[in-house]
Amino acid sequence: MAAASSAMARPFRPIVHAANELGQQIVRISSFFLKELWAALRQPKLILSVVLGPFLILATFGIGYRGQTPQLQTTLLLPQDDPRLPEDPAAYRDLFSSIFVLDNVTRDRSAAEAALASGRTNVVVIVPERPEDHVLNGQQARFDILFNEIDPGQSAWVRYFATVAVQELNRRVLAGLVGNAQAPAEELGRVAGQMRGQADALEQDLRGGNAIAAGARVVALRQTLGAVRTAPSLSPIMAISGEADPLTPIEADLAAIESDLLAGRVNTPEQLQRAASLRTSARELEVQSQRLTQIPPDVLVAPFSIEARNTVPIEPTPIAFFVPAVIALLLQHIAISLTSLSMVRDRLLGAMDIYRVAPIGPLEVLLGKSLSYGLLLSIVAGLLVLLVTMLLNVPILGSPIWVAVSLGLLLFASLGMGFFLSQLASTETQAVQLAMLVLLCSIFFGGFFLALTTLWPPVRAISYVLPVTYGAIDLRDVMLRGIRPDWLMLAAPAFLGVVMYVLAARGVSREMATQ
Amino acid sequence: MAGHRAAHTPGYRTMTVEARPPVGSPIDASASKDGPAAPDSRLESMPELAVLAAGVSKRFDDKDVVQDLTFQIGRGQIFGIVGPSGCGKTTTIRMMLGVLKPSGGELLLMGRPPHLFRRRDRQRLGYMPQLFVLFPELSVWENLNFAASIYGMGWFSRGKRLESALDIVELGDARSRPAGQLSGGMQRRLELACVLVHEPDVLFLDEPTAGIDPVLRAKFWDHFRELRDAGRTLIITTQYVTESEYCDRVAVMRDGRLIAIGSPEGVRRQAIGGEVIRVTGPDLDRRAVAAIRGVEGVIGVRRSADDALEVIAKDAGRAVPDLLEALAAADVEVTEVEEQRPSFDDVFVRLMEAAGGRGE
Repeated sequence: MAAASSAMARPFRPIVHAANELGQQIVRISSFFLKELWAALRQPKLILSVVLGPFLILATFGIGYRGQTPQLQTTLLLPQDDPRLPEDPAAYRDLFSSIFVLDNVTRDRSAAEAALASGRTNVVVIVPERPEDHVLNGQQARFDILFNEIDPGQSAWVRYFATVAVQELNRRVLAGLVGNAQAPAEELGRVAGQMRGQADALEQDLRGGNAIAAGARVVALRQTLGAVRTAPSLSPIMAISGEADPLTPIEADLAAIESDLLAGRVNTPEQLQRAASLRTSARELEVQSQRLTQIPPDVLVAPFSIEARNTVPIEPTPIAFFVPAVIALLLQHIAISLTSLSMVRDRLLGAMDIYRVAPIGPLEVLLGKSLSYGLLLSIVAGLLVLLVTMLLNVPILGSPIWVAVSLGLLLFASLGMGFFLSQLASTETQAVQLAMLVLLCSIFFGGFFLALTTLWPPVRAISYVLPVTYGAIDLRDVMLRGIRPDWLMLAAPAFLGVVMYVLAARGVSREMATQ
Repeated sequence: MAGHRAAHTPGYRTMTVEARPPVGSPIDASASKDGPAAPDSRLESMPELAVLAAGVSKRFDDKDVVQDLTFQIGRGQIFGIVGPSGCGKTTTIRMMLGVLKPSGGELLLMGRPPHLFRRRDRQRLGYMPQLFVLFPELSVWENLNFAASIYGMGWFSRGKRLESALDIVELGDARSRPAGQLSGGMQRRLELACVLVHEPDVLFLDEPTAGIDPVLRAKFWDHFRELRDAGRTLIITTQYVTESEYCDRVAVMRDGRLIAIGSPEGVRRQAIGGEVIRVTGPDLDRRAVAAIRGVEGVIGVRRSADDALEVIAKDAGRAVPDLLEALAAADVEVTEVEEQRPSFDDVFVRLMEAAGGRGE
């Protein structure tokens, strides 16, 4: 009976064996999972620094970040001998906007330059002497702007805003000129109205068959037309109407009527039609003149404006824009530091000898540690996301599932990188230094401050081996754009993680192998 | 049976006090003859070898760290490896564990080269390294749990084993304390408990008693004997020469070579050259020395004090009556004649001197 039972059990033996082996494998993996977890939980300071540290950094960043536009204390340097320009700063304040804050007006050039050199003022704006003389001589009057700045970003801001300020000044001058030109336009409108009245009278004279009176009206109309022709506001009207010359058809009509009258023809249908046309043309000129006086000079000198609309669901604040990248950066750094230090510490303790002798393999070591740190960092990531949404008002417009997927892939690649780096470090100091190097690389090449497109493509390759690059892109897509991250941007960290784990596993295998 | 030289190495004299059986044969009987009674019977009842080493050597770069080791370890023995620091004890242990692959020779542990061990083979090993490698943040219990887990012990079936291991090392009251807060002795006990928890067949203990007080050392050796009596094989390195006496068999190493191997008594005999008889008397002059030298079985005589001579004899029991008779015949007054058992410290010093004298 026992023999029969044994024979029946024989086919299941491999299955039982495999199940037993699998069970033992799970137990072995759990050993590292629990060891790392307990070791971490036994260090309250570590937990505090891992959970609270990143959030405090984020919160401080959120509170302290003030945008990128600088505020520059500006001194206005006036010409020595131009009494038309007062020295009261209030007279010029409205000319300075954006980054220039006018705090001093002087005529003393050396004092202004000294203030610039000592840092008491950031910019000195030098007003040209008698600018009208330059313009009348066919030259631009130049404002010189002095600043003392080594930061190329700040220099670019100064140049940009100086250009904007000068454009604004030019616009104001031009608007003044156009405003002055609107008075002649009123006069033109009045003359055009007079011409329309003469055209009405001409039509009546023609209808009444009074050729002599009609001829006199034609002469008067010619004189009025001459006055219109020489009016200074005719050109703007021509520009607004888009016509080559609105007076040409009037002249043609007058010439035709005059020719008929000289031929002795009065009150012909053609004459009446031309007289009506004359009236209509005069009326149009009158209307155009009135329109010109009604258009604000600002619109005339800057007829085009722009209105740019951002099509993202919400316009992110600078904090909201940076927070996803900061989360990715912090998680990557913590993951790399924890895993690389854990492996190096085991090595320095001599635990690798125990692992070599015990029935465990390198994959079990890596998997156990990964699960432990993965769990720990997932909790940290969840808390961080919760805190930034609740306290810093950073939105999550997309699905939380994609946030979780993005964070999971970021952690997977970061943990793999940590294990890989642990193979390059023989001491804890070296492990920390390597983690700091990766952090530095991430800040410059991870799309954190600089867009990846600003990097030279061969250098951009560095960006693509950093998990933070993908983490920042994916999290921004989900949180700020409300869309699913691009499949390629999801596949890339997964692939990177696999490569890192394979390299790390090879290293640990070599370490645990018989020497 | 004694005096057979199995492995001659240039520059050193390997004092072998047992007949070396051919590779693959059961453990030699000489060890049984010289050693305590219990191990003898056990060896005969368990003829399998735990370890077989034949001409094993290990070279790191250009340096020979271990050379031409040839020995066998039977199952259920305490096998001690003694030698000064840097003599190759740890390297030998690491080769037996499969951490290092021998550069030459043949090494088998439980019938298989250790560097080819599978998981199943490794589950039968226990290793307590020289340095403390437990995890300081984890408690005593968690460290034990970790040790049990890496050997694949089921979560629900390990409880009793953990308790038992803690009881053996008397750390039951300290189970919740972090390992980093334990004293040095307690840490060693915890390490021992971690080695015992999965009930290995062969235990490798690298200087397990280093740095701990004599009372605790005695307790450790009590545990080791209990383990041996339970059928385990223990391979222990130690710098405490006196501990060699607690082993069933001892290998003495110097500069990577084996300079003596056998039971503690056999090694002692080999080091001294025979058994020691101390002769005390007020007038032990040349006459007395000449009379002693004339006794059959006497190998040598040397003065150990003004009123004492140290006589080396092949068999002290047989030589003492003859000595008394010869000294009486020479009219030499004798106060006392007694058989002496030199300490293992003396034995070790003599072995080192003998090996060094040849080798240096």
